[in-house]
Amino acid sequence: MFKKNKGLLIILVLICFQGATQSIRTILIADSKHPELGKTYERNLVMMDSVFSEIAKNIHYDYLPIAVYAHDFTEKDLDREILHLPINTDDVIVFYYVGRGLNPTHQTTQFPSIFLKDTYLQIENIHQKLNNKGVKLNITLIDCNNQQTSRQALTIDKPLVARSIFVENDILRKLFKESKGNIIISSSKKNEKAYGSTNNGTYYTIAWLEALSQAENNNVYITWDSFLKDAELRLQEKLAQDNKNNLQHSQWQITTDSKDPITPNNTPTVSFNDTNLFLNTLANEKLKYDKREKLMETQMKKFFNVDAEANEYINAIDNNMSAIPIEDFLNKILINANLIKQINVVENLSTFSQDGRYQIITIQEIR
Amino acid sequence: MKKIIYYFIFLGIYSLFFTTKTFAQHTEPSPEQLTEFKELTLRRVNDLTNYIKQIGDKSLPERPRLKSIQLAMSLFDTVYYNSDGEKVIKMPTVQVSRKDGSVENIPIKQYFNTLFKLPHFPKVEISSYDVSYCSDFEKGMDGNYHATAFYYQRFKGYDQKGKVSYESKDRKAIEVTEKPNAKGKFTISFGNISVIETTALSPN
Repeated sequence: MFKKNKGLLIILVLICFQGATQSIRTILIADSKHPELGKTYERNLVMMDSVFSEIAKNIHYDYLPIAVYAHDFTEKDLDREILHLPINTDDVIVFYYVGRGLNPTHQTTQFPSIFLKDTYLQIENIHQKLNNKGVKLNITLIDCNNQQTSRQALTIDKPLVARSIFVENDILRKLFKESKGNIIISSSKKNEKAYGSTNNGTYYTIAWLEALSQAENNNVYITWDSFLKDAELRLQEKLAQDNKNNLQHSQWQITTDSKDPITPNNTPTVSFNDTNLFLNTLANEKLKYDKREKLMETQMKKFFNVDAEANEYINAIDNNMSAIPIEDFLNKILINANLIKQINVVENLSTFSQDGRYQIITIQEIR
Repeated sequence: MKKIIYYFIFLGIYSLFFTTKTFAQHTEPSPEQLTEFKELTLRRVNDLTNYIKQIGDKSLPERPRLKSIQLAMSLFDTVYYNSDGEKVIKMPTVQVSRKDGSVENIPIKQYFNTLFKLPHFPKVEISSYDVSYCSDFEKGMDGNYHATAFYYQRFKGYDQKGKVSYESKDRKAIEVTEKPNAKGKFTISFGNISVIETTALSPN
């Protein structure tokens, strides 16, 4: 009996062994000795560590983190870590830094330099070193200033939109398991600062995590580009809530190759991000009512079928409530803009008409 | 023959069970859904108080104020079916407290239209002074689920000189009904609004 299945058993063991060696390797660095913002950066690091650990669990990868503090970590230490990083072509490497950063005007690069112990390092060089490891997916995410000064601007605490628990789905698989290539992201463009709140962390990291959570729970379709656009939209919402006209825009360069995880019957022709942006603009009470009303009248047909309807839920996704006509729903957003903090489109509970516009859109309103 | 009779009895019981189950799936909300109804009801109550605030706010352009009337009206159930199953249009009413301390019932549409005009007050401010509350939903004799929601409304009417000429605080109760529509989905609708408590703060 054993002899008969010996070959099969060996293959199974090999498959299991092969599966177990796929990993998400993270190098997470926080500028924790920063006199005012060190604790905030540490909090960001802990959040990122926890999220990537959950992602690895979700896609059945090992999770191998290196979490360090910038004041203990020199350029040599980083080079050594990168050099000794075990190479498995199926691995994912994530390099995350939060802390002091700068980009002097004489430098031609659009991406900033990060601060390690006693020196500033150009992030594109680090990203290139990690690319040279030849892993399947290499993500570099930098949350710091991208201008002459390295001092980040953090404001008083703001309540955050609660993140939900990760559940297994196609979105994480699509982003982290099926994507191949490299991505470099910085939280601010050249000559911009990175903003945040003292207790919650830097806005971009929070926006990035929120976008990931929303995508994982709400989206059917995802690409790295659409995901990062959503993070950018959420960053702008947070800056707008501060009401200080602060300028900060994330930027990214992507070289990936991935397949669509799902091919539903009716493929949407409207972008999830554009729809989210449209609804959140209608709910932005800082814009004049007339302007928002005009936007609604001119743009609603782009997103919604003539007889489209909207569903709303708070906690119970199967609440069995009747949907309301889309025009009533949009008017409701216009008038209740003063009550609404954010609108999240739940794409995976929405349906599309044959021409790809929303037939039933499901949303969650955060008040 | 006996076998055939048993077969039909079984089929009858099975059909009855199956029909009941299907019916129940469409009309009986789960405890989680009832909790969600309650939360959604509070959202709708907050919407209503926000519409009332905007209808009365003369500093706003007319368009959003008129749209607020339309949206506020859409929250109320104006269609009923009598015991013969005939469709009846019935406008819910709202109790309003007067300057002299009396309370009057007026149809909800008239209430919103009056609030829109209020010619005696060049400036009107309507706000909430406490958090709204909703009782648990309970099944009524009509098969629908009913609850009562409470909201707290402060009214300030200003005269030409910009001074408060009338101010009152009302605690109001609103009837709420959850009922399935033709598709078996539930709708939240409001009925009559009554004044539970009223305090005139600066009666002139």
